[in-house]
Amino acid sequence: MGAFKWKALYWVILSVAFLPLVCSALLVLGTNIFLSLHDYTARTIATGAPFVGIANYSYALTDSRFLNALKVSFLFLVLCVVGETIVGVSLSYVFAKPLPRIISKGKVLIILPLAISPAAASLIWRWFFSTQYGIINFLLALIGIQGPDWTARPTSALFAMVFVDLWQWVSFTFAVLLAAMQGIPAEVYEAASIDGASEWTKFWKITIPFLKRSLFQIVLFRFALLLREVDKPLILTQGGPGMATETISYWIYRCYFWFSQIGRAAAMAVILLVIANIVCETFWTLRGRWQNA
Amino acid sequence: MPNMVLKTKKKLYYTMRITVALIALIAFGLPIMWVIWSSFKNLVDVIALPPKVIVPYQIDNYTRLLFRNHFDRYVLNTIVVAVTATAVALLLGYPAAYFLGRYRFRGNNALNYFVLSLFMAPPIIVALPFSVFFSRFRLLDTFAGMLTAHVTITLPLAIWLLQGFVSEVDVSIEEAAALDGATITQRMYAIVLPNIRSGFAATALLCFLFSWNDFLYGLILGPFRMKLLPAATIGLVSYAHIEWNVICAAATIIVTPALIVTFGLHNELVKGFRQFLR
Amino acid sequence: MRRFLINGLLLLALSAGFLAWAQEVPYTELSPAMLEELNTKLREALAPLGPQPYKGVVIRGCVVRDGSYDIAVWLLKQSDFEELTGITVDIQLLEFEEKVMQQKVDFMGHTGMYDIVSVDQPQLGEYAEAGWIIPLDSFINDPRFPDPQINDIIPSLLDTCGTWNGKIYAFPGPSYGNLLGYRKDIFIAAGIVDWDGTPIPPVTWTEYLYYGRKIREMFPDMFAAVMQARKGEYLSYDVGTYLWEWGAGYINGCDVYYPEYPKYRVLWDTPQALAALKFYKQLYEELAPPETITYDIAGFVSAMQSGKVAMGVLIQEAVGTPLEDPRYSKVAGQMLYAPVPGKVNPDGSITRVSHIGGENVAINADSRNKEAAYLVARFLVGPELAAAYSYLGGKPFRYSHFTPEAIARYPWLAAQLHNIETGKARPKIPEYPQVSDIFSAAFHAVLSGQAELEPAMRAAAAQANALLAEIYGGK
Repeated sequence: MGAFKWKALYWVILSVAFLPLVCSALLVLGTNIFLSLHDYTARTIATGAPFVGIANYSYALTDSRFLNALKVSFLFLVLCVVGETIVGVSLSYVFAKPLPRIISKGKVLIILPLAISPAAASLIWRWFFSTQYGIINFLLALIGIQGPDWTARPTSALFAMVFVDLWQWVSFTFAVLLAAMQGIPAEVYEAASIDGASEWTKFWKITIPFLKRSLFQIVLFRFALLLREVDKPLILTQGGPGMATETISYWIYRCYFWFSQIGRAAAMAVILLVIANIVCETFWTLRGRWQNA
Repeated sequence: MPNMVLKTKKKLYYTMRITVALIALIAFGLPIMWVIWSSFKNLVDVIALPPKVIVPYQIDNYTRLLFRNHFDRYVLNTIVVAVTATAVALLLGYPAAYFLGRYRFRGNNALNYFVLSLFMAPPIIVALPFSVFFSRFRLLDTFAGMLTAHVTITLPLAIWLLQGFVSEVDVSIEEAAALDGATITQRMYAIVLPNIRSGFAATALLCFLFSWNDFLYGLILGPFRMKLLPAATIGLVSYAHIEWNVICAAATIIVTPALIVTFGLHNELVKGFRQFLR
Repeated sequence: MRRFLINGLLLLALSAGFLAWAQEVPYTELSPAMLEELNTKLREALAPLGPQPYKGVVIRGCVVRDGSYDIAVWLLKQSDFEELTGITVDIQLLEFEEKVMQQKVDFMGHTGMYDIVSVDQPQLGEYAEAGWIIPLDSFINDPRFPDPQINDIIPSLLDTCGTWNGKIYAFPGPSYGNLLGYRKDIFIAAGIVDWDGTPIPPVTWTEYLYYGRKIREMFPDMFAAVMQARKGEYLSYDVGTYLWEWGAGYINGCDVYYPEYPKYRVLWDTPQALAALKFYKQLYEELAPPETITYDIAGFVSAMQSGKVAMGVLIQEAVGTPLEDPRYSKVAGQMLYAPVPGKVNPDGSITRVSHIGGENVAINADSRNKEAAYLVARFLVGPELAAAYSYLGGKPFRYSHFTPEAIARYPWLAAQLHNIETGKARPKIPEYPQVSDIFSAAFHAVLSGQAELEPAMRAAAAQANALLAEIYGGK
C-alpha cells in the first residue's frame, strides 16, 4: 500500500513538471518534421504548400552552403574546444597553487565573461576588433605589428570568433577544474618531488589523470553548446568573409528569416537535431560509465 | 648547492605564475571595465585612439537609451521574463528533481537523459517551430509565449541541477525524519531544501542568467512589445552611423546582472557549473 | 542593502536631472513659415474627409531609419496631421536588418502589429506574392481619399519600387541613387583641377582609375575608392551600377532584358558581367582600403569621415549630414558631389546608370485599420510635406522635392533628377533575396581572395539558375 502510494505520487509530480517539457519537445519535433516535408516558402504560405517528401532533406544534404556550414561549425568547434581546454587547464594550474592575495581574489574576474550574454560579448569584441576604432589593432601597432583586418579575411575572422568564445568559456573550464585541482591531495605531489620528478612530469603524470573525467565532460558539454552558435556570426562577422564563418545555426536562421525557405530550414533543423542528439548520447553514456567506474 | 638551484627554480616558477595570472586577470577583466568606462563618454572621445582619459563624462548615453530607445521597457521585459521563468522552473522543477534524485525507479534514467537533451538542443531548432506555432495561435509577442520559450531553457536546467544537489544530501537525515512521522511534503521542503540552500541558490542563479542572456528567443519570438535586451542590442548597430558609446552603454546594462552575480555570488556560480557536470 | 538602495535612488535622480538637458531637438532649421505652408496644404487635402474622420485610431508603422524617413516621420508628427484626422501615428524607425525581421515575424504571425511597413525595393515581389501587403489601387482610385498625385512621383521609381504585376503595392519613398563623392582639398592638392582651379570629378571610369592612381601615388596613405562591399545585400547592391553600365545585369527579364539569354537566367557569368566584376575587384584592390569588404553604409561613412578616402561612389543616404558634421567628420566642408561615373562604350558613347531603389511605404494585409493606414502612408510620402522634407535634407522621390530652396541647399540635387529618371533597380521577384545571397557569398569570397572570379561566378550562377528554374522553369 505504501509502495503503491509512492509510485503514484511519483508519477503525478513528475508529470506536472514534465508535461510542459514533453509537450514542447513533441511540438518542436512534430512541427519541424511537418514543415520539412512540405515546400514552405514565402510564395506558398499564402497559396498552400505541397507535400514533397524528403526533397528538402536531399536538397539540404547536397547543398554546398549547408555542407559548408557543417564544415565551418565543426572547425569552429574543434578550435574552440582545443583552445579552451589548453588555456583552461593552464590557467587553473597556475591558480591552484598559492599566489599573492590580491591576485588570488582577482580570479573572480576570470569568471566574469562567462556570465555575460554572448550577444553582448560579440558586440563588445566587434568594437575591439574593428580596424578603425578598435583597441586591438592599436595595441598591436604599439608593439610594431600591423594588425590584420579581422573580419575581412577568412582566417582572422574565424580566429576572432574563436577568441571571443575562448574569452567567455575558458572561465567555465577554469571554474570547474580549479576546484578539482585543489582537491588533489598534496602528498601525491610531495611523493613525486621526492622521487625527483620535474614540474612537467608531475603535471602530466599526476594532475591530468586526476582531471580526466572532468575534462571529458567539459569537452563533450562544450561540443553540444557550440552547435548553437548564432550570436557571433550574426553580430561579429555576418557569416563572412565569403562563407567562412557561417555556422550551421546561423545558416538555418538565415534560411528561415531572410529567404523565407521555411521547409528547407526545418529539414536542416532536423538534421542538426540528430547531430546534437548523437553528441548528447555520447555525453550520457560516458557519464554513466564514469559514474559506475 | 643543489638547494640553491632548487630555490631559484622555485622562485622562477613563482614569478612565471604571477605573470601569467596577471595577464589572465587583465585579459578577462579589462575589456568589460573598458566598456563600462566608455559608456560614459561621448562618441568622439570613445573612438579616439590612443584612448583619452580626461574627457567630459556624461550619462547621456544611458538617458538616451532608456528614454528615447525604449530600453526601460526592454529592461523591464527581460527582468520580468527571467525572474518568472526562474520561479516557474524552481517551483515545478524542485519536486521533480527531488523524486528523480531520491528514488531509483524504472525510467529514471530515461527522464534524466530527456532533460539533458532538452537543455543541449540548439535554440534554433526550438525557435523555428515555436515561432510558427505561436503565429498560428496568436501567441507571438505575448508574455505567455515568451515565458514558455524561456521555461524550456530554465526548467530542464533546474531539474538537472537540483536533482544532483538533492542526491548529495545524506539519506539518513530523511530516514530519521520519516521515522518521526514526517510526510513527503514535509521532508521535501522542511528538511532537504534547507540542506541544499546554497545549491538551490546556485540553480536559481544559473536559471536567471541563462534566461537573461538568451538571444535567439528574444529575437524571434518577441519583436515589438516583448522585446528583450540582448535582441534589442542589434537594433543599435546602425548601418548609417555606429555609435559605439551608446552600444557600450547598452552592453553595460545587459552585463549588470552578470556583474552583480560575479562579484557578489561567484561561489554559487561556480558551484552551479560544477554541479552541471556531475 | 539600504546603502545600495540610497545609491540607486541618487543615481536615478541624477539621471532625471540630466534627462531634460540631454534632450536634443532635431531639425530646428524648419522655419515657422514652412511649417505653416505645410499645414495649409494638409488642411486643403484633408478637408473633404471632414473633421477627425478616424478619431482614436492608432496606426503603427515599421520603417527603416535611413535619415530621410526620420525627417518624414518627424514632419508628420510636427504638422497638424494627427489633429486633422484624429489618428495617432506611432512609427518605429529601425535599422534595416532589424526592420526586416520585425516585419517578417509580424507577417508570419498575422498579428497585424504594424499597419504600415516600409518595403525595400528588391523585396517588393516577395512581400506582395506572399500576400503580406495589399495593393493600393483601390484606395488610389477611391474618390473619397485625397489624390496621391501619382504623376508627381518620378516614374522610374514608381515602376521599380512601387509596382508588382501591374498593381501598385507601395508608395515610393526616399530613394537611393548613387553619387560620386570627392574631396575638394585632395583634388586641388593633386592638381586635378579645371582652368579656374575648381576640382574636376571623373566623368568616366577610365578617368576615375587614372585620378585614383595619381592620388595614391602622390598621397600613399590616402585611398581613392571606398565601397559598401559587406557580404550580403550591401555588396549585391553595390555592384549594380557596374553590372548595368558594362552591359550585364542581375536576372534576365527582371531588371534588364537581353534577348540572347532566356528569361529568369542570372547574368553574372556573362562576359560583360565578368568584365564589370573584374573592374570592381580591381578598384577594390588598387584603390580601396582592405577592410572595405566589411563596410556597410556606416563603415564607409566612417571611412570617409576619418579623412583617409579621397573619393568614392556613395549611396545617397550617406551624402549630407554624416559627412558634414564637424564633430565626427574630419572632411566637413570638403565634400563635393557629382553623378556616378559612366562607362565608355566602343562607339565612344558613355553609359551612365544610377542605381535607384529605396524603401517604400505599404500597408500590412493584416492591418485592422486599412483606411487610416492608407491615409498615413499617403501623407507620409505625399506632396504636402515635400517642400519642407527636401529642404531638411530628405532624399527625393517626387518632382515636387526639387524645389529651388532645396537645390540651393544641396547643389548635387540638380543632377540627381536626371539620374533617378534614367536609373535602374534590382530585380524584385520573391526569389531575389536568396539569389542575391548566392551572389554576394560567391563574389565576397572572390574579393577576399578565397576564390577565383570566373569559376566562382559560374558556380554561383549555376546554383542560382537551378533555383530559379525550379520555380520559373520553362517560362
